[in-house]
Amino acid sequence: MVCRTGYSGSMTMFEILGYGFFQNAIIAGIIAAIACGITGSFVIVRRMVATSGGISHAAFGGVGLGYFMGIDPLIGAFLFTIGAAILIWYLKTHELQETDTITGAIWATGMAVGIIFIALTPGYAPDLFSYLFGNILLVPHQDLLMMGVLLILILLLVSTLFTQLTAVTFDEEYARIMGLPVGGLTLALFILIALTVVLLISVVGIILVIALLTLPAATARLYTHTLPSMMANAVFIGIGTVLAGITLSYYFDLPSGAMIILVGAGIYASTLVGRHYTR
Amino acid sequence: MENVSVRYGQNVVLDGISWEVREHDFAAVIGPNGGGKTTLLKALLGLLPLSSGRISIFGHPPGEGRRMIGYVPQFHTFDFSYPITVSEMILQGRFSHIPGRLLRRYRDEDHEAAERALGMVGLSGIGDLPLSTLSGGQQQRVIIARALAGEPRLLILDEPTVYVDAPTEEQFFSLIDTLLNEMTVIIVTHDIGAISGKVNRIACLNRHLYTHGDAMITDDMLISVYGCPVDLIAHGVPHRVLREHDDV
Repeated sequence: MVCRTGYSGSMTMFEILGYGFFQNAIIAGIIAAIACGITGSFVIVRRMVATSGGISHAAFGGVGLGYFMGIDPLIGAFLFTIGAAILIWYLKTHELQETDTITGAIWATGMAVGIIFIALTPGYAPDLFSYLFGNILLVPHQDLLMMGVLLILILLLVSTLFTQLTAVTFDEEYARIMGLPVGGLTLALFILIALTVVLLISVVGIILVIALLTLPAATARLYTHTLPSMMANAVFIGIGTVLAGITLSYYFDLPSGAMIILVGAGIYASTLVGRHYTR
Repeated sequence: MENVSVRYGQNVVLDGISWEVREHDFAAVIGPNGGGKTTLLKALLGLLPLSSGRISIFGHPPGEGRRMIGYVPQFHTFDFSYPITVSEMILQGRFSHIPGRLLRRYRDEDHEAAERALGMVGLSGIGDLPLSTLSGGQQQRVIIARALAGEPRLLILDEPTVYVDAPTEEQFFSLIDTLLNEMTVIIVTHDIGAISGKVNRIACLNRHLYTHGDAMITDDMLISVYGCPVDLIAHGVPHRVLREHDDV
């Protein structure tokens, strides 16, 4: 693929892009880390990692649709992730299929749809690699705005439903007995994942979304004992991860999305090892 | 409970069950796995429709009666590593009392009820501890406390003594004894040995329900429920009375 990969984070590029873009990257990173810390914590405690993977890969179908229709691929991704979330939820709550099976089908189908749309689109697809692997150093103002709006939606959803979402992720059957709308709350969780996925695409890309969504929260879980403190710690770890990743990516002239994930994995692994030796 | 039947498709799981439990009874339902115990519980909690018959809980249909029931699910279904404090978990037993749809916030009275429930199971003061740091016996009592937080008139426990060691089991039955002053208790189990001498009403469930008011399990009942004579623990006798399996 000869398209612009966005991997060329060289000195010269930095000089051209200037300070403003670096600031954008930092703001994008912080927004992403907040969303990841909150949604990721629910994903970890409720064991929805695979479901999140399905929803995030389905986003690629939307990116393809965006290219094909000539609209912003992120809008296409938004439609596809919400659609995937609703579909998985519907099939799961009506017990038509195992969540695992549906997830696999939607995961692959989403990717396939994206590839077909891109093949049908005349010319080449600019920035395709950015959508797949992310490029936080090239996040445009417009995407930043969208990320901000998505983050506000996520915060509203979680702050309104927090006690109920905790109850449903802790003990679904009991929540149902207590008369909570378990179906609706589960849908809210899936929508939460979909919103977070779209928000993360600019930062780490579709392929790597799942890692940033889960690594900071998984790390925080190792030493926290309540959901709010797990979320706060995951946000903190996420911000550190993203900033360290951007810096290393710049310093070594390597892809930013991949560097961010490697830093996240490194922090998770060392916390795991540290916990093993302190117990 | 009058003439209650439940089917899944062609499969009749509960067939014409009638039973009455009175206030302050300590009742037990025993039966083999797959005998319909879980279905019976779901029916009592109003979680599934009856094919026929009628269930009344203190004069209310099951859905409405749910507020008067404290439900203690099976111990091993819990994720005790979930990051939550003891009091946060117990507060979840208050949801059926909290009005509103979207914004359900715990009120002062909910916090008070949760604290009282913790006191009833003898664990006052541990509310701020993470659930994951408790011992097995404490965890079991916390699950009971969550059910008590809803101030139930009827407490239903599903397999309460499975995966619990002997001292914990003893503690458990003395706790139930004190609770019986305030409420009705129903235990559902496949473990006949788990039934205390305090049980005053017993029924055996295997699609049909075989009831016996005097809390005596007879050979005939066991044979009809389990299909063969089973090892039996006699209460009031300090050791196991083992019977031979002469068929099977």
